[in-house]
Amino acid sequence: MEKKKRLSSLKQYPVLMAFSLFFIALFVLDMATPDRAYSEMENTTLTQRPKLTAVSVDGLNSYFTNYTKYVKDQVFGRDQWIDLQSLAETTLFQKTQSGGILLGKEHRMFARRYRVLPSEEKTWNKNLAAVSSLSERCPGKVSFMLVPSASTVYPEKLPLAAPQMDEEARINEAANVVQGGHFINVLPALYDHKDEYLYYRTDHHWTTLGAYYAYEAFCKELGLTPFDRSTHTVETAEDFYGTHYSKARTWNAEPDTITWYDLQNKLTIWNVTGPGQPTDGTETGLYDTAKLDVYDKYAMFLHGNNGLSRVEGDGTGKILVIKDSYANSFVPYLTANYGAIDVVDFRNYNYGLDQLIADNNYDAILVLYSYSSFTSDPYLYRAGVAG
Amino acid sequence: MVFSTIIFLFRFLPITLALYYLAPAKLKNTVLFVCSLVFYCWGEVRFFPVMLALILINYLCGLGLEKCAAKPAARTALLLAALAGSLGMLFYFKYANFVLSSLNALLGTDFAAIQGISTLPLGISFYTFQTLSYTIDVYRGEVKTEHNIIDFGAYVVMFPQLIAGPIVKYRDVSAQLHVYEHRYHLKQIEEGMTLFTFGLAKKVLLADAVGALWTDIIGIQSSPSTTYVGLGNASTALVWLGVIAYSLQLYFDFSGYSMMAIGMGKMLGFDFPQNFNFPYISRSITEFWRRWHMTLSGWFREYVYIPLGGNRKGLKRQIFNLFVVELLTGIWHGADWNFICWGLYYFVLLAIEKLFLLKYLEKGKLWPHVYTLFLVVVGWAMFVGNDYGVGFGELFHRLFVPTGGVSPVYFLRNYGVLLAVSAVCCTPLIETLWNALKKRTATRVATVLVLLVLSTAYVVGSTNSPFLYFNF
Repeated sequence: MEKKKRLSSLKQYPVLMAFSLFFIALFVLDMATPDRAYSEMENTTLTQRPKLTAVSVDGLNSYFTNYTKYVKDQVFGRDQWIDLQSLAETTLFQKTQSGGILLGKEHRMFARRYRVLPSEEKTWNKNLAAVSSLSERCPGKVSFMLVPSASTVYPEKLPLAAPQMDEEARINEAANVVQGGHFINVLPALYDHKDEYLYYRTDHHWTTLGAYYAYEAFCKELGLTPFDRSTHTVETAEDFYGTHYSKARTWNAEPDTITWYDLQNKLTIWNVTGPGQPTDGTETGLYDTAKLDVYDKYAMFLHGNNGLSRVEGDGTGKILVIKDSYANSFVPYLTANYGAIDVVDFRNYNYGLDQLIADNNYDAILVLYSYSSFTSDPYLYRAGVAG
Repeated sequence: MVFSTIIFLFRFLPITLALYYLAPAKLKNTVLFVCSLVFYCWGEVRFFPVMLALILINYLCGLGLEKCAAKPAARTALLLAALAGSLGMLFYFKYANFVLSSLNALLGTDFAAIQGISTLPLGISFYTFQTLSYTIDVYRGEVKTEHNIIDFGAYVVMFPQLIAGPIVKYRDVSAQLHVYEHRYHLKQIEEGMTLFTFGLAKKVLLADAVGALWTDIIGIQSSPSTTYVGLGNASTALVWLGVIAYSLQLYFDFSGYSMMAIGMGKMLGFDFPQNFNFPYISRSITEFWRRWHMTLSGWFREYVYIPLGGNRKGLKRQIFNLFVVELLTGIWHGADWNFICWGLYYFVLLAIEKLFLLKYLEKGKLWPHVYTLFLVVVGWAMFVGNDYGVGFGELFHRLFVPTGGVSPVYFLRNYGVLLAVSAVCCTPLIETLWNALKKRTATRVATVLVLLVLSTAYVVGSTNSPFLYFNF
């Protein structure tokens, strides 16, 4: 009787009921749903339930910290909550950015870059010095290519009055660091073809087509005959949502299409254990089509960012490509020109280059970076292009 | 633990409330005390003894004051001991290094900074003032000594108002602390839940979001790779927009926190005092300080201004008293010269108003609003002047010497709707809207639920920005 009375009096407080149910429901769902190990969307491993190791100041502090992270990472419906925030940001508050990504016209997404950060200034100068030193040690062989961000090629697609920094001026500053080699300015070629599909909408990379026009500019500069696109079959994969999308999470994002050429060239991923040419590696093809079934589809090109790998080409001579991920869709074109293409990604290669260069006697060296990683990635100068 | 986090919202709060409601009447204060200690220690266990010492000092002095009722000298000694203990701790953690470095700069001395106190014990500025109110009130005979250390501890460390106020005086809650049966009723809990939701929405939907405009300009200390315009590149118009955004953020952040605290207080059966009353609609600086952080101004009025003589000892003395209070207000907000400047700035403004301006302001219609808002925003510029990414001189140069640079157009476009909503939420219009919505059950429940769901999305969706008043 008493209970019934209490329950009916609860009905007079609908906000109390709604509020309590909301928290109880979330609490129960949070407890009942299994923990995830990895978030594909956020491209990160998720914190697992911590154990209290010691009842001491440090033990308790680290337990509390980790438990806080654990609850944050494993909250029920994490992905859906993030989507809802993005929805509110773009519709309710009419924002032109979400998750730090600028939302431009035609569903294009851009990385924000309001200025050169102090840390970027330092990295930029050190990396330029490293490239300069490499070109002095390998006279006449080094080509240097800096890939602009999508916002530099498509400034008119940025949100109204977005204060993006002048990347073109910075790239032009880099033009004279290569001593006796080639600076490949890809901007004119990209501007000429800007009405084509040069950059992904939802990802920071250029498309395979964007890479092609840069490759054409490279061939022109070095006097090479470009890869003949008409004699190869184009393969495509739909529904590619890239890195920009994983930050912005907008409800109306338009997925991208990945294309690649049906090439049968061999790719060897070396097990790098020291400087110089390794002897041990895994042979495979240029493309890892299994990656098309996961979130990070761009990783299909060259099987991602391996430390050192070799592509067997159909041309003659040897080229070394020192690069970030923008080169992954670029390198396949080089099979038309070289017999062997060695690819180094310093993020997974902890040695200097000189031994490798001595072992292989390359005919050409191409340093290919996006402006963005060249100005922020310390691996290039740290891993020592300079020795 | 910060309120606008998943750990607090979906672990600490539901568990604590469940334990509190289920606990037998006699044990409610124990539950509150223990849970609040967990809350306090969650960020840093090392500060646990600080809290314990503070509780013990004031508790024992309270007992002593009662015992020595007939010995004025002993009573004074006990009060001084409590003051020295509480304020000494506050000074040690918050001001010692500032004083040392200032001495070094002024006198050319070479005192080494004290190590290990770069982070303040959570909420120390707030709870030292709360415990002092207890001891002073006992000394004055305005409240009775608390004999039960659990009850007293529950008051000092009570989690809703522990970290960011409102500054609750012991006598505000002492009666309720000793009501064991029927401490709360459903209507009060429902009111509390509504207030909590509004406070949370203020904090995460408005404060954090509009604060991003300011960090777009000056950068984020904890995330140096996040791009920003840089104060040196921003045009004067953009810097003004930024400082206005910062002013909005500060208000929503702090008043949102207070609202959550008052809401949770009601859920527990306590009525905490109001802390903000639409400060940005004030028509004078005098009025602004009656509407902004009311419990702090009230504390200084009661324990400093009036004991010094208030306005009863002539105009000169009143101005002096005002000076002392505003100087202390500045110092309370932070151990740096810009906070002292900020306090003295308000002393000058309040003195001018007291001397002659107030009567003109009372007659004006629009201009007193413009006057007040302008001076308050300039005040916040001083307040933020020594923050990460800001130089005091550069900020004021940019504000008052027209300079070109990155224009505010993009930021007005991106934050336009949010700024408009924020402006409305600074006025009683938002209260009118709520009064209309709450008339019908459906719209009342829907409003609270929508705000809860959206706020949760923002809490999960954004990397949480830490509460601004932490270091004060």
